[in-house]
Amino acid sequence: MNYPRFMLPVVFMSLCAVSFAQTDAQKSFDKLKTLAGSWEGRVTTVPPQPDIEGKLMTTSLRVTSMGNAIVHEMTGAGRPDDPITMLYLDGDRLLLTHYCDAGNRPRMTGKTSPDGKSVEFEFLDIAGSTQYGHMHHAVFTAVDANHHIEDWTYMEPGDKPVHAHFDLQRTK
Amino acid sequence: MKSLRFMLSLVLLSLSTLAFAQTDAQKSFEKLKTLAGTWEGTFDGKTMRVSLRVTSMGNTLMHEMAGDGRPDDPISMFTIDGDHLLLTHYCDAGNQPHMVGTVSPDGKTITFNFVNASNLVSSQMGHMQRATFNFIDDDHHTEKWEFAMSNGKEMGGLLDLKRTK
Repeated sequence: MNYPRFMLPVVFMSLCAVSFAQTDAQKSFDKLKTLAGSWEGRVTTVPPQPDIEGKLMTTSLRVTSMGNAIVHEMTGAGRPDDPITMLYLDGDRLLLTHYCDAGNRPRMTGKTSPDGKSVEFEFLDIAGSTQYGHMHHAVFTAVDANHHIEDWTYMEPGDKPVHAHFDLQRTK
Repeated sequence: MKSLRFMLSLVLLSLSTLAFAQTDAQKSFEKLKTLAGTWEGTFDGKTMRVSLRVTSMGNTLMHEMAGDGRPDDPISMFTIDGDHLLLTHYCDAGNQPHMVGTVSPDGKTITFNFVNASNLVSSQMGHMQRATFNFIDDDHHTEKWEFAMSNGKEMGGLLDLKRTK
């Protein structure tokens, strides 16, 4: 692959894109990019889930693919799961694909709240089996540069929602 | 999120899955998982690093590529969808091609071919068209990534990778 020749137009295109007005999706995507870093905090659940309630969780967000994607990763002390979420633009949509421990991959579309503090993702569609439920909804709320909140809603079989609230402080 | 009951179900499901015959896609996915680790090779005289990591409780393999002095850092995700082994490439070019994988008759090569892509627009340079993983031994594999340019031409690069971890 002739990378130098290949990369220059990509960089040029990126600069061109910045010079035009951003769509709402791009603004929301750029807002999420400000969360890049490592985060730590406790989780609370409704209804209470004894296996994770109050546990310390670690989240990292990383801008990749030359700014075209964000990798979100979540782990918890003593937990085997390690779900990855990719955030990216598709035309004028902000999308999230959640590579779930349950073996499926829901996609959600994101929009910024009127007050500009939150980006809320609504379920769009899903690949893979939903036999064990699926992640259904996510909200990212920026409190300040070193504090943000994530609210994830998992839909158990029978459409029973389980809400998890992560209050996260920046560690890096 | 997931209750203990849910976790137990997943463990039982994993065990029961092993008891049944795997599809070709599952076999290929398991083979790809053996590449988990970090790898290093050279391309165009520069050092390239690849990491592969099993995530999402074994349901996803995450591939990441970076090189010395290079700004790009594409991510690829391998998953199973029914009978298909899928690759989604989060490309530096700004699009996300989806490819489906097939294994060669000798079982040593898995080739992913382009199916479709999200965020594919004409102003972009093109999209990743094909990825070929060749298994040589436990500590050595190659990856060939081929890019289809919007002018109809293709370009590609072969990464000859040795395991570092």
